[in-house]
This record gives sequence, structure tokens and C-alpha cells, in this order.
Amino acid sequence: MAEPNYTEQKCPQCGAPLQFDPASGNLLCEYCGYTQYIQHSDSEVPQEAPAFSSAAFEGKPGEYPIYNCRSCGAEIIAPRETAALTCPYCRNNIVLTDKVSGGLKPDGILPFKISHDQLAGVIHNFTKGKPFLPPRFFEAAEKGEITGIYVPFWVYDGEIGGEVSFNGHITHVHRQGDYRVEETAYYVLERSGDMVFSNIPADASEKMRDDYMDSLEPFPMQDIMPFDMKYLSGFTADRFDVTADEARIRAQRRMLNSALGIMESQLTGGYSGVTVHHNGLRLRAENIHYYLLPVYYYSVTWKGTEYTYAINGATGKMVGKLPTDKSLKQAYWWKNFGIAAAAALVVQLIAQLF
Amino acid sequence: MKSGMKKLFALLLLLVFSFCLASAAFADDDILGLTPDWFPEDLNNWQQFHCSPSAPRVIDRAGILNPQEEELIEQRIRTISADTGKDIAVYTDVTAYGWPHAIFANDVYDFLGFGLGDDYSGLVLVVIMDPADRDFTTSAGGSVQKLFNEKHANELDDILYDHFVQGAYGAGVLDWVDHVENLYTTGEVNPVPLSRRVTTAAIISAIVGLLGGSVTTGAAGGKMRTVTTAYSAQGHLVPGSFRAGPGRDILVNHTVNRIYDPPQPKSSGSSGGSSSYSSHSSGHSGVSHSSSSRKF
Repeated sequence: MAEPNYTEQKCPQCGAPLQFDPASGNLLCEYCGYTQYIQHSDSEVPQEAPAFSSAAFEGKPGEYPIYNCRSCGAEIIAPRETAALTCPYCRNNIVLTDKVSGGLKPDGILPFKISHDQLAGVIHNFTKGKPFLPPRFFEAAEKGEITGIYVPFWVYDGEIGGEVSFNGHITHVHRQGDYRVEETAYYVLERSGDMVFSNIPADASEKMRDDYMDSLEPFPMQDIMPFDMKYLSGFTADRFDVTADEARIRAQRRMLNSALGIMESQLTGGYSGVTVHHNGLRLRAENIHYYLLPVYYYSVTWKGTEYTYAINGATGKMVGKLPTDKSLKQAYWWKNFGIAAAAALVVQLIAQLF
Repeated sequence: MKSGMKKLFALLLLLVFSFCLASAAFADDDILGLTPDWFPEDLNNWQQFHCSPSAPRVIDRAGILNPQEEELIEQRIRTISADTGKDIAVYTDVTAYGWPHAIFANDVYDFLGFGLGDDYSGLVLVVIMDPADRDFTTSAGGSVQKLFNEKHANELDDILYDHFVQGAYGAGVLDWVDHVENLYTTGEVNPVPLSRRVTTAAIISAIVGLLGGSVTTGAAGGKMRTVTTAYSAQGHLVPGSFRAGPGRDILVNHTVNRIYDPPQPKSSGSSGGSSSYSSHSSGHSGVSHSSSSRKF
């Protein structure tokens, strides 16, 4: 098999690997301080989707190509969907150009805004307001490496329209002498309309948990830049392995759920027991973009259990499952039990006095 | 013949005149001049008074109490009155002399000189055993009127009623006197024992604590959950993009249910029968009382 195309970003002054610096938005040499500005091309982020919604993968899933690092000659094995990686031996940044060019070139990229240095503060803020988190959890846990990765996303715009009919009723109760009279009027409520949704992301990577990626929203889509490989330096990147067709159902479901809710909000008149009689809402038009969005991935092991966290690389929002300290939870419950019971006792005492 | 007609005419005149006199007598609320022996002869010059401290507090003209019951009730009343400074009296009779029973009970209170202290405080129970109109009436005077509200009146009437319908007049009056003592000393006819109040307060506090602890812990637990699947795209709606199309509301059916549900009569009694309560009543003296009556 012919060696795939890849590029390495090297400092022209000292030859060290150049890293993308989220703080400045440019490439930075950590050794000599050299800064290389990333010149943005005149082209805008494409608004029309390229026709790769049914693009097939090259090769078979699970095949691991082998790359040779040009700096140290080490052999690196990377999954087929990997588009950028760091040599584990010499920390050289490698971008596999064939995974991000031609028909696979992303429409845009949201550069990292949160640097590695800022992650400690992000993690500290994440632990605030978590009353049942074991004390000093992140300090005490066995920490894995924090990996900055550009996750491939399909981002959908859609126009939803159609007709919906609901069942509803209105009941009036009044008295006539010794009788209670209940009058109920049953209605079919027909409503129609259309609306546009934009920038609904659905991750295009099998290995990324959909609920984690959903929870990291919102991504600031207004900061999307035209794709440039230089942004990938120092970070890992994947190309998509979930097609736009496969990911579409998640975005469509969200749009249709919200559209139905908006149509129901149009019902006025005090109707009770509203149920959907017929849902004719359909996706009328669609636009799809292929973006790389920044995510930090972080795993810790605590008492033999691995806990994985994701951090939105643009906003710093952190999500993940947290362990619960049962004794803290019980103490919290008893404390609030005591406060509520004491308050009830005081109120009863005051009521007795008056 | 002419003299016979004259005699007949005179007799007729006499009858008419007698009828008018009788009507006048009836209009005076006095059945042919019959009043209780304690009724004042000169009502206009009557002044409120205290009867002798040794005067009996149990006057059983209807004969519904045996001597032992009378003695027992008398002793209880004297003890309570000495402790509380408020009077209690029991009066039974076979007739109310044609007067409304509330008026009669108030007259018993005033004209027999019941009530202690400057404001003539006390409670008088009057039992009328008229077969055609049998009931008991309680009259309150002085500061006891504040204690004798409708709720307490009903509670005391309930106690009497439960005994009287079974013919247990002595036991009923004794029970009534005991509960009057509760009313005088605690302000309640059926005071809740302290132990039960403490238990009730503790149970209520525990339930509130349980709810409070669970709700706050649940809310805090929600903060620990940071991962959710997105089902909505509300935040992705392009502002101003929603265009509502035509809509219509179609009436498809109309039903009318008529349910027989007569308003419940307001019952003032809980154990049987109902009381007639008045916070402002008086007898022939004009002195203000509160009263409550119930038939049995």
C-alpha cells in the first residue's frame, strides 16, 4: 500500500514542532517562541453542502494503516478515521492530508479557544456546586491524559413545515337548582406553519458518545473558520465514520419535536386534554455542513472505575459522569431534614400561641 | 219573645267581650296568667341580682335526676365555681310556659340570680321535658359568652344529646358539667392532651422534614447529572422564521351532563340533631346572653 500523504508543521527557526495556540489563534513554537500567523483564505465557509452525504469509506473498518514519522522515523499505527495525530515518541504533529482534502475536506473548523493551561480552571469550576462529589476527587483520582481532538460533526439546517391537528376540549360547570351541569365541547384544532432551524450538530464519529456531544452544546458556530490544516497542529483530529444520512435522523428528530411544540403553543382558548390527532410536519429543505469542532477528552480512574469527561474546546463547558459519595449524600439529606423539621416545629409553635 | 231576644243578645255580647279579654291575655305571652313562681311581679322595676351562694344550683322540677345524681352534680358545680369564679346551674321543668325556650332559659338565668362576679358570668342548662316540645337550652352570661361560641356550644350539645337520647339524664348532665370545667380552665370543651399535641407536632415535623430532605437532595442530585441526550432544537430556531399558516377550530361534539347534587343542609351538630345558636339573645329582662338549643 502506498504511503498516505501527510504533513508536519515545523518551526523554521529551530525545527521543533509547531502547535496551534488557542489563545492567539496562530501556530506557536513552544521552544523558541516563533509565531506563524494563520492567514485566512478569502473564501467563506461554504454555505452549500458538498455532495458527500453518502460518501463511502476507503478500506474496511478496523484496518490500521502504518505511518512513518519524518522526524524520528518511528512507525505509528493510527485508526483509519484519524486525520491528525502527534508522534508519541518525538511529539511531532502530523496531519494526514488525504483525510482532510479533496472530497473529504471539511467545510469549516471551529478552532480551540481553551488552551491546555486553562483546563485546570475549567475542571475546578466543574466541581463547584456538586455537593455529593467525593472531596478532592480530581486531585485524588488517577489521571489520564487530556487529549484535544477535533471531532467531526454533521451540522444541519432545515426548514420544517406542514399541518398539525390536535384534539382538545373545554368544560364549563354551573348549577341549576339541585343539579350540577357539566357542558363539554370537543374540538379538532387545525394549525399550519413553517419554520427554519439552523446549526443543529450531530457528531459523525462512532467512538464519540452522542449524549456527551449533545451535552457539550452550544458550540459557537459564528466562530467557524474556513478549514486550514494548520489549526490541527498539536491536536488529534478524526474524519467522519458516520455518514450524513445516518446522523440525519438525530437532527430531524430534534427539529420535528421542537416544531410540534411550537405548533401546540399556537393553541389559544383554554383547551384542556390536548393530544395530537394528526402530525403532518415534514422536512421541506435541508442544508448540511461538515465541520470539525474542538473537544477535550479526559479520563480519570477512581477506586477502580474509569470516569470519562468531555470539555467543549471553544466554551470550556465540561460534562461527564461523576461519582457520588454516599456518606456526603446522607449527611446532606439529614441536614435538610433537620432544617425542614425544625422550621415546621417553629411554625406549629407560633400557631399554637396565636 | 222580645225579652228573650234581648237576653240572647246580651249573652252574645258577653261572649264577644270575654273573647276579647282572653285575646288580650294571650297577647301578653301568659297562658291565662300562668308564670313560673320565680318570675318577677314587677318586671319594670326588676334589677339584676346574685342569688345566695348556698342556693341550689340543681333545680330538677321535671324529676329526671335521682337524689344521688342531684347531690353529685351539685358538689361538682360548687367545686368548679369555687376554682374558676364562674357559675354553673342546671334547671329542669315540664313546661316553658309557652315561651320560646331560649327566652325561658335566659329568664331562668336572670330571674333565679345565677352568674358570679360583677358581670354575672356562668352557664345555665335548662331542660324542658314537655312531651310535645322536648329540648335543652344552654344560656351563657357575662364573660363566659366569649368562651361559648358556636363551636363550643355544638360540642357541649353533642355531649348532652348522646346521653339524653338514651334517657341517661344524670350521666349526661355530669358529663356536661365536666366538659364545662374543661371550657372554663382550658378554653376548649375537648382539650387535646399535651402528650397528643406533642406527638402530632412531632409527626407533622417529621413528614415535613422527610419531604424537605428528599426534595433538596433530589435537586442537588440533578446538579450531579451533566450528561443528557438532546431531544429539542428550540435553541436552534432561526429568530423570526416561524410563519403561522391558516388554522381553524372545529366543534365536533357537545355533551351535557346533569348530575343530581343537592346542596347539603348546614348541620350545626355532629353527633345527631342540630343546634340553634345565637350569640345575642335575651329574656324578658333584656340582659344579653348567648344561647344554644337542641331538641332530643
